[in-house]
Amino acid sequence: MKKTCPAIALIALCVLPSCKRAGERMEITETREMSATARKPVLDASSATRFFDESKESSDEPRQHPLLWTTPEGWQEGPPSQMRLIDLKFGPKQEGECYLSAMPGQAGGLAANINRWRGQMGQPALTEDEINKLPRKTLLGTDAHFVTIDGDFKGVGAEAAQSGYRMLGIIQQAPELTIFIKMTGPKDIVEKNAAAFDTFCGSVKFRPKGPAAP
Amino acid sequence: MSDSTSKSIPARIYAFLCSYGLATVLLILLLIITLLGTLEQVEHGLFNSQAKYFDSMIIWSIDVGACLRAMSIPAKEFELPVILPGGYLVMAIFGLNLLLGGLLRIRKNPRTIGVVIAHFSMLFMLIAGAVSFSFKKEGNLALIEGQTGDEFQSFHNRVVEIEQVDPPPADGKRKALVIHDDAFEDLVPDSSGGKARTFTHPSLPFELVLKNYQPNCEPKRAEGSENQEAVDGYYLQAKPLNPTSEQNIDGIYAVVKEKNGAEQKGILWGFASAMNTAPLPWTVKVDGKTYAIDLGRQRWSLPFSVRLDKFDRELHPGTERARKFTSHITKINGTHEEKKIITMNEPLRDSGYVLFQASFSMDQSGGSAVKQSVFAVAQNPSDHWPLWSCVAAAIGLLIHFISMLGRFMKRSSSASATAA
Repeated sequence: MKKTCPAIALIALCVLPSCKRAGERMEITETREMSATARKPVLDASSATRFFDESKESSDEPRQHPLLWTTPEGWQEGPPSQMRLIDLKFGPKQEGECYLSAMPGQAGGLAANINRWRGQMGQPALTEDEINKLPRKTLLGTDAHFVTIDGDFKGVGAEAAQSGYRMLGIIQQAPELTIFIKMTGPKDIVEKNAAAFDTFCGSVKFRPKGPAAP
Repeated sequence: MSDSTSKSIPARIYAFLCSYGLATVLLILLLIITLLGTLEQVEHGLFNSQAKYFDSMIIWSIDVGACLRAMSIPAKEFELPVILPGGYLVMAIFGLNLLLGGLLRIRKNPRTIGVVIAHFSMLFMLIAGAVSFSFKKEGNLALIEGQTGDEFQSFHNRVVEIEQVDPPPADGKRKALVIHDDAFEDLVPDSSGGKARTFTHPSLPFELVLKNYQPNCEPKRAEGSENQEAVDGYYLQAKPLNPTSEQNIDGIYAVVKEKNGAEQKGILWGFASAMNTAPLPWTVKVDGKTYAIDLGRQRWSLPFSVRLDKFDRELHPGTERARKFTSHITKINGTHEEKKIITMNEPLRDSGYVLFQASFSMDQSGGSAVKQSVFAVAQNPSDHWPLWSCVAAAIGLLIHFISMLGRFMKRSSSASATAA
């Protein structure tokens, strides 16, 4: 008989989980502490936005870009994507590109991102001291790190590096958001468009809340 | 034989549970369940088939049509109602059979030590499966180059989360109340108008009513439709279930009932929380506080952070087929940073968690788009138990076979000595 006790206990252990039934009223018992890197929700989004009903959005409440900017003369503007909030191209054959992207939080940190860019240009990583000595530019009214990197540019998915390229980049870190502006292209074309790059960076600002801006 | 008739009922039950006959029947049932589950998963998907045949206590039907079609035999739809023990029940009874018959009742002497070890290893394998089934956490973590993450999300488990976003918590730590899917996935619509369940928490100034859960659906405009569930001009239109469960997008209707009797109605849709950049929850304001209510995948925290520094993929020459994916990551634990590489068949193992290189994605819209690496993350307390079990089974069987060989050789030599 003693030997049957563990048997009954084991059967009970196996069967009990399947007996769990939910009543009509339940108290929530679990609380989850969210990570510091957890995605921040977009609040007060309309049903049309939440359900990606673009036709409704366009008819009821015109979708507004969160930023305002001036596209330099001669540059072409592409449609924004999830990764590129502003996507511009320049140069005689549109071979240069300049885009603005944003990521939540510190996005891996300043040094990692600058050295990632340097890696894309085939250049060695910078030390923390060297990064601290980088020049600054103003973006959205705040100081941001600015880099100029010459080298052989190998973009994502590219079979081979493109030689004689220049990259201009700005990284601005805020506690909740990191904003990147990255310009790449053949060195001579980037040089010719450096002033336009500064004009573009200086023109970027957050769209004020309230009625649609013209 | 006369002895068996004089046995008490518990003794007979004990003898039955210990018996070889029961072990044989259970093994045949496992064989049948495995065969049917394997055939059905071709049309019903791995997750659904696993849930029906292996995670269940009882199997209520067999999709004979699907099983035949899986064997390339043309067949019409035909669902055969049955009552068969499910894999969970069979394995539980088999575990009991092994414990009682293979470990407790077996004669224990030097001759049977190998068999006892082999039985123990089989029981240990079943226990490993039960622990994995009950406690394993499995999901994925997707990171863009430069991004840091310390949470992974379940492949299958769904949750409704309620987060007070304004005013934010005094300690600055974001928290969410979690309602697991086993508390709402049975609230499917029916002819009586659907089922509802009310959820409460002392910290909430409202009650949340969830009703009419749709495991795969899409919000549709209610214009011209007489759908009485429509909220803010939308209703959830059911879609056929996708065999690959991860591809289903679920939805549920929600009502916030304030203490003063006021009600706010909303729709929670899984896709709205799936955005990698920012989820789009249903926002409600009650008593001057703002809450985000969302339906999404269950999330778990990692005990460390992972930053994706660089992602590389090697292609087979002249094709777009990937030969190797490699993620160069930094594992961050407090202030300590450690560079690691995760590549195919070389996962990162740390603090009981395993991160495998699973897949990747690229934004192809531009030449220098952003790369995203996806890691499969698993935490399984019984991660290595099957390996130990196999080693134990090998040792047990080796001991048994060597001992049998020794006895055979001894018998042979004594027989030849007698003949001489």
